Amino acid sequence: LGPDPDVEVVVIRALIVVAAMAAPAAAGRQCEEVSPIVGRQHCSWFADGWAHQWGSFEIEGGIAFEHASVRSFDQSGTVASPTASAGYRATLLPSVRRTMSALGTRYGVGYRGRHVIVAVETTIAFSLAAPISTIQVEGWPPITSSSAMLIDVGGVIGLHTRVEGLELSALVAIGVRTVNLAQNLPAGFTGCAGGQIGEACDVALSDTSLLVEPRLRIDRWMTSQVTLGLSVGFNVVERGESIGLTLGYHGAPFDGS
Amino acid sequence: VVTLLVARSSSPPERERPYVLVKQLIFTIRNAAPAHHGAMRTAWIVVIASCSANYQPGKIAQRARAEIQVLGCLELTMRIGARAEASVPVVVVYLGNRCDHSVAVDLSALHVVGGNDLGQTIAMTAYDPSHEIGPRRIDGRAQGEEWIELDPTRPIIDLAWLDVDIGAVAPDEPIAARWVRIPMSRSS
Repeated sequence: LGPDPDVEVVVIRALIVVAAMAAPAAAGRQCEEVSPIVGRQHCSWFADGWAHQWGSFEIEGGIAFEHASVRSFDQSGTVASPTASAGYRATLLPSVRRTMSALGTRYGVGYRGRHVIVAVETTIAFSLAAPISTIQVEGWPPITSSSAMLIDVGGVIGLHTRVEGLELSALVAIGVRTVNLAQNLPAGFTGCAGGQIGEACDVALSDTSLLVEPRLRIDRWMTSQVTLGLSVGFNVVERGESIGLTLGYHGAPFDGS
Repeated sequence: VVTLLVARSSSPPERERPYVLVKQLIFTIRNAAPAHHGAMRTAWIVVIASCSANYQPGKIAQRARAEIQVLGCLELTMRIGARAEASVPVVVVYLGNRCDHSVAVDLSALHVVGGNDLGQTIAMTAYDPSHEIGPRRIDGRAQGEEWIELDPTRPIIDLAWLDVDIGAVAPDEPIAARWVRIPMSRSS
């Protein structure tokens, strides 16, 4: 059983928004230039292309390791098979691990000024270790699961400064974190009437919480427009830590600094 | 999206935790590998493309085919450009920054004098109807070019050369007159 379809839609929409934000920069202007001479140009202007004192955009992607707490779940509802329907109750087993470790991908796009960073970001990670949950369908023995998925969507703001070939940043990520614990059901049962199979027929324990994660980050300029960054963050709302390793492409050399 | 697809299909029947964890890990790696390879290829393309875009000292000489003037981090060279839309000389200024940080450039500080073989000289002013030309900072390891149309302050026949004082173009460097002569080509 996969992630909550609603969360999936939100994440895919977020990715589309991210792509849409990056698209104009990637696509470039559609204007057809008539002259390279200053004062006679129609599409560009003096210093266009070599002076970016106002900063530039950055697109980044990489991997993220997340260690996050998982709150108590107690979810009930109805599942059905082609021949019957039954109530269920899903909970975390008591006295077991309440944290998950996950490895996944992190993508972001944003603006980097001389000292300011504003970005949107999403992280999707899958459990390496997760709490054991159990689902009890009426008339069936309990089934345990320990598969989880974590999705963070939010914004990142902060300050950065350049020290030789490094960028040192103090950031805070603010957004929402969704943890999905996938649940296995008895054979033939799904969350839809008649045991239908489909994207909306999965049953998962889902919890969404606020994410406020101060981060320290260090980036190494690999070239004038590519950085390799390492960030460490601590979620102050729910217990959690993250480590990210991302490769970033910058629209202007050294962000114009 | 690829990651989500991996997640969707990575929930095998699980009865025993160790078995599930191993199977899930193998499944994830197996499914994610092609995507990771694609991402790695893209990353390398970005890095290599970015490396090739880095300005290397002396690079602008290939474009202007003229001697490079070095003003601290800033490299500058010029040539005469011919454009149908301009009836007066156009000077093409090539800029390059050999440092890893931005440096100040002020092309409005160019002082240009035109002259002919008859010994006449005339001050030239930049065509800048929108007052665009002014101080900027050229990005680190970046290069650029600007085409600047130069109007003589009074008519002159058979313009043969332009003398350009570039001494104040790099405000961060000590300012001293530094004249560079650019001969007019016959076609221009």
